[in-house]
Amino acid sequence: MNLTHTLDFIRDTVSKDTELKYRGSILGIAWLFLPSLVSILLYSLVFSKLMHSRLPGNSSSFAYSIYLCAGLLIWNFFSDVLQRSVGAYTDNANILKKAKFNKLSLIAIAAANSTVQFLIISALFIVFLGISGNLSFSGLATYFMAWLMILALSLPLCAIAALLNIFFRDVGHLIQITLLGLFWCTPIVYPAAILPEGMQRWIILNPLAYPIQFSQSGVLDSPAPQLAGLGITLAIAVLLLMGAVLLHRALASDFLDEL
Amino acid sequence: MALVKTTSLGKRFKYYANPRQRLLEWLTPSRPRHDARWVLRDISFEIGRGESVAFVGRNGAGKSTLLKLLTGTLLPSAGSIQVNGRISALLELGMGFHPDFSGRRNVMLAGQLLGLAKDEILSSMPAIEAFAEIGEAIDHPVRTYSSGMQVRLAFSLATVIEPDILIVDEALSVGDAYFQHKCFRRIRELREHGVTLIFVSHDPLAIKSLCNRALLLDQGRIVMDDAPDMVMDYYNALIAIDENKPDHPVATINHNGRAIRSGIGSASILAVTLQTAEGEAGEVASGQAATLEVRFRLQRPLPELTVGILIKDRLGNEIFGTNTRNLGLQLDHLEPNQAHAVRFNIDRLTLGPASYSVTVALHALDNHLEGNYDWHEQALVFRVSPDPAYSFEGVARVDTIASLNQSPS
Repeated sequence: MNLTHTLDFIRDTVSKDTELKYRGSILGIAWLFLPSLVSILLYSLVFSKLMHSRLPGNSSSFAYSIYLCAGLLIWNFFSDVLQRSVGAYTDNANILKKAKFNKLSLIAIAAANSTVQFLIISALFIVFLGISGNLSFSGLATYFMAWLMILALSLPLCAIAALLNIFFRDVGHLIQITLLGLFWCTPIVYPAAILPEGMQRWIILNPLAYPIQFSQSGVLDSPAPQLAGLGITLAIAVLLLMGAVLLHRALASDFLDEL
Repeated sequence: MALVKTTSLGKRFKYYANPRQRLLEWLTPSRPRHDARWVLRDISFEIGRGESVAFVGRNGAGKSTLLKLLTGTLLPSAGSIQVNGRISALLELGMGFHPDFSGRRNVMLAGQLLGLAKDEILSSMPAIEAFAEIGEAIDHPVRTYSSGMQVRLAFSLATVIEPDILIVDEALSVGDAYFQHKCFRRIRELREHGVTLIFVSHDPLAIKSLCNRALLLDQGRIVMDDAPDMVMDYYNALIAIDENKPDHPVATINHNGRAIRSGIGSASILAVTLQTAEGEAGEVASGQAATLEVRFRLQRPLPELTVGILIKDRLGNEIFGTNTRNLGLQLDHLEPNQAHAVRFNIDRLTLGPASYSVTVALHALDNHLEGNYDWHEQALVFRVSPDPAYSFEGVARVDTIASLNQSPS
């Protein structure tokens, strides 16, 4: 399959997947963003109202919800694409066994599916920003740049997870637990500033922290995080990419035998 | 240039007792913790454009692994494989068809998996619909299809856009007789257009009529590469010997010239002759009387013996076969170490004018697989000459009288 064929194939499969997922449901495409919407409402309620948490140096009543969305929507993309991808090879074993095509297109399909979902919920977020008078070009630019960083980080990770899951089904379960831990290790529902000083220094090592904080600061027009974090994120992305390429090369044959 | 070329191709599968063993091996690669099993070894062959090749072999001989290596859904562990052209494989008919989508949508999706471009599939859609003959069902969800309808659609998709190489597996046995005939006609047509055919089947008739070459695989190796009738004879001999293995480890196959002879040798064929009223002959006129005489000798006392004959046409198609047990002739406890002769008297040889061969077998029961003493392929070749008084086409002489009814109701 050449590139145009592959792209056609990915596009058709994504529209097939989307159609299948919501076929026979009353709310249809609304299910693409309802879960995110509910989680945003819940977090806003719990953190901003019940716990009376306010963002340091910002008194706006919407500030926390905006802060939350700027991080959570990007996190949700990361979590969604990883959970979709981990089964990309195992779930499609029947096609992989029968036709010869670039298996990475299955990862691309997962990423495209997650992106569709991300774009829909982002559109709602942008409308909300506009209504609340917080919409700015620079804010949007950082938001989508942060998403691109997360994409660069997640694609190789997805490919590695999907590949290893063929040999060890533990990977799928491991990802669930890791995501849970990682979520609370990343300043998404809380600002990094509320952490004790000792922990704040370590958070920079979390490759997700920089893109998320970058998005939050851009959307809320607050000071950007330390640039060193970007270096760490990019370095880890490159390492993951190299790892993904090497693993796929080394296991190309075993992979097909194991399906 | 060869369309398909393999050089010392080999495939090894690794077996791990459990996933932990694999992880340990990854961590300490110097200590292998798997069982390696070679399912294909040293496979070298070339297939040129327009050839039709059958892959023959018992279950587990490595046929499907070889097909998967050809289609690229498995990678070789040794040697190399070169395929210059687009392969369309019928081995997984209906692959990837999604039950909830219409036939049309599924053709698009599955076609892309086969490596076809979208516009190519779109422009061939009318032809695919026409060939599949499923009518308006093309727009209904595939879950409402019968398995026959799915096969029709998948076959149309795989063959309407002509591939360079078509792989046909046993899958074709699905579907009704009408469509099977249509499929075979289409396969023949593709072959005439120069499409290379790789055919995997156990059906000797289909192999002999579709292919001009056969590769026999046994225990992961190519043991024979020859004309289909030769290979099928050898294959049958191989099965027979294998069935005998437990109690008679010494069985031989002689493969000299065109004739194949196998068996454990407890009894052996001495001579096979065809006799007419004029004596021994190599030619019989259609409709004449003839006698097939089989002379044989027992090397040791045998409680029972069956002598069988099988007449085949030039292509190796089986025309007529019978044996002494079917004909009610008991050959129990014959005297060993002395010649015997069984005569098959044929009142009227109702065969059409052509060349035929006779396979003769000495075996224990009415099935040549058990106690195969001596089995001689093409033990005799004879011609049937035309009967000037009764001229007809084909190999079967069916006595027919034509009459005219002046006033049919």
